Amino acid sequence: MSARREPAPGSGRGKSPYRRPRLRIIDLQAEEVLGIGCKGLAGDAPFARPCNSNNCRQLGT
Amino acid sequence: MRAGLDLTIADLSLAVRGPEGLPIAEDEPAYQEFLTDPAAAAEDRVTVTVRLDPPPDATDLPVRFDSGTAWRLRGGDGERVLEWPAREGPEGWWWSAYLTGWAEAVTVHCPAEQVRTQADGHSLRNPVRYPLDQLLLMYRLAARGGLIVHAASVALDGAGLAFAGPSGAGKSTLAAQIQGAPGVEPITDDRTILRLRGDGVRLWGTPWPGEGQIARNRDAPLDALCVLRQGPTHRLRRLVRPEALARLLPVISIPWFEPAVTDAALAVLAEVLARVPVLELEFTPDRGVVDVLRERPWSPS
Repeated sequence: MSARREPAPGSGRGKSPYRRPRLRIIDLQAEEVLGIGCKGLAGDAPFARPCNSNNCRQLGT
Repeated sequence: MRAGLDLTIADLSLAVRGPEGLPIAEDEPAYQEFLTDPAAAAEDRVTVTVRLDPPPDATDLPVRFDSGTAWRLRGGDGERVLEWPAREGPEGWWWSAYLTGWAEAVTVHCPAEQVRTQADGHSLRNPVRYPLDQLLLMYRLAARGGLIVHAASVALDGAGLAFAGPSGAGKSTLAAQIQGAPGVEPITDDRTILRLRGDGVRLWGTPWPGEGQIARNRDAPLDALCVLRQGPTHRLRRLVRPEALARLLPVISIPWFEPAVTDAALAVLAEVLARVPVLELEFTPDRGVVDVLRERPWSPS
């Protein structure tokens, strides 16, 4: 019985063809998720209308 | 009117306590379902002390993140200060919230204008509302196996479905179009909280609704997480993990300016992706999408 030997590292046998890595850019939008967009709450407290400083009145942002 | 106010979101409680003898009022309709009894059980409880005084000088703490117009964060791991510009008042007058650790204790300093006088006396308008409550929960949820996702959600025949996407993706549109269909219980049309529970994931509604003003204090086991895309038909497509990550990361509330909190939040996300199928839901504005969802093609059975 003969044991099958694995190709030595770097020998070129059994290797997958090189594929150039693809750079993936994920666009993180702070205004979507970091409590920056206005939720259009009622009232007149600064906390309630964080977008008043830039006149944002849009709901659901 | 209560002397204090307890806000419970996704089983995490914020116990808001103001100056002695001054009741705290929260009139916003979206918050009413989330106001809870102080004696009610919650997995986590943070006391938020509200003081009517000028914020302490925090200029010696470096600015860690500045949103530009809404708020900014100063400080480091031990002491953090969230600051808001006031709409009115003298230049440089800021509201602020002091956090210890990952928001384990919070002190809010706000101006006396927050006190409202009516025929029945004085009351303090609750300052622990959007966006402060969402920011505090970003820290607490990361510590407790949870995430805030920009997603609408419903329970369909008792199973939770979340529909994620950025503004304009159709979250409120979808929630509105399937509302009223048999077996559909709307939970939120804009922000959903996901938490690891047992060997699964559970979703919760939040008091931060979208255009449809759907903000229910309900929860359900998460059956599938869908990423929205409007198209000419109704179609579900399973996403492989790299694509799921690329589509979800921009719509999850992760404080990227906080490395340790980010690590914890990403670990939660990885676990969510391991436990729950992520699909792209292409939909068109009619109620037929419910039939596609009801077939649960992601389920092995």
